[in-house]
Amino acid sequence: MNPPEPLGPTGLRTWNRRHRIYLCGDHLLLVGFDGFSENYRRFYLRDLQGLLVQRTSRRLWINLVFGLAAALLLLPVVIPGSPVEVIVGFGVIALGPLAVVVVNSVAGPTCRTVLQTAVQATDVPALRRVGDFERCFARIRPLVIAAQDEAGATVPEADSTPPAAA
Amino acid sequence: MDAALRCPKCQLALVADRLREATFVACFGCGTPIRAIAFPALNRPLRDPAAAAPAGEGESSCFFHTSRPAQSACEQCGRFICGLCEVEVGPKKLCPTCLTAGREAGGFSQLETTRARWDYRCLLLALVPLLFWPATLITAPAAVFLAFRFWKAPGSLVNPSRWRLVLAVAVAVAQLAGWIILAIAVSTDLFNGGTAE
Repeated sequence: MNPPEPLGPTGLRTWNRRHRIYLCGDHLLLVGFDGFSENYRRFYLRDLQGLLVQRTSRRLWINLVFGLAAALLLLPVVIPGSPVEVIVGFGVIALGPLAVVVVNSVAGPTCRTVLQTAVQATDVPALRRVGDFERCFARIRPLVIAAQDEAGATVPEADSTPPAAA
Repeated sequence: MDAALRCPKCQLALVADRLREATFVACFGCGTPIRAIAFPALNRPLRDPAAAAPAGEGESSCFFHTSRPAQSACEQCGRFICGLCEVEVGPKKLCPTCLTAGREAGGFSQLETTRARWDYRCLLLALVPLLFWPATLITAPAAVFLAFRFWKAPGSLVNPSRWRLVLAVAVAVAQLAGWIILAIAVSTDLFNGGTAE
């Protein structure tokens, strides 16, 4: 059996858990880790009916919160008469939230990924950026098609053209 | 359930012209931008193992359902099994009895849904008490004991390395060595102090 191949970034967190998705031969393995134990969910490629990606506003909110924090910390810069030590001190502290804003912006738009089989639709918290989803999808798509062709399924008509302008 | 992809937000079934692999399209129900990618299995009819015809005369029947025809043999025990009883575990087809026995014995990693990470637990036990160092007198031996007790326990399915256990033992042994040195130093001081008087 092939060793598990990571498909997404490491260490994506929900409030109490880290998540990562792996490709293990004929199935996807979703691993959740809470610091003491790991739990596993498996999705066989032959059973995947579809993937749904929903745009979320998480990136916007993260940028707003940390941008606001950085702006507050940089207030002494715009207040006339502030001592140099205060400006430098707050400026250094403001680098933290600014770095979060930069990294969050560069990482790309956020999304919620749902994986659907005949019996369940499951959130995949390991894929919460559109870019990560694209890479994962490019990797598994041919494998899913091959696995399901073996099962003798017919290909549904999927429209891959962009939508007409409203 | 109808075979259809559903909007993750409003659960509305997405019609065919909403299935787009390349772009986000607004859901008819809630307007959320969604990219829906359908795979061939969406149109595959569900297999109904109960729909098989009863076993005919002279035909092999299932060990567990004698009225039903056998479809395969369990790869563990060799019993004939029907479509209802056949369970695929990785590359193997097993009967329910062998599946239960294998699961109880922990023989199928494909069926595991959780694993304790003793390497992380031992490492935490060795490192966190350093914030309150007197506690290491108790936690260091505990970390060493747990590391050796669970040395052979299966680690992570995806990252089975044992370096955290090794590090936990190294840190805990260093703490124990520190306590031994401290004890020797204190007892030597006491001894010297006693002779000086």
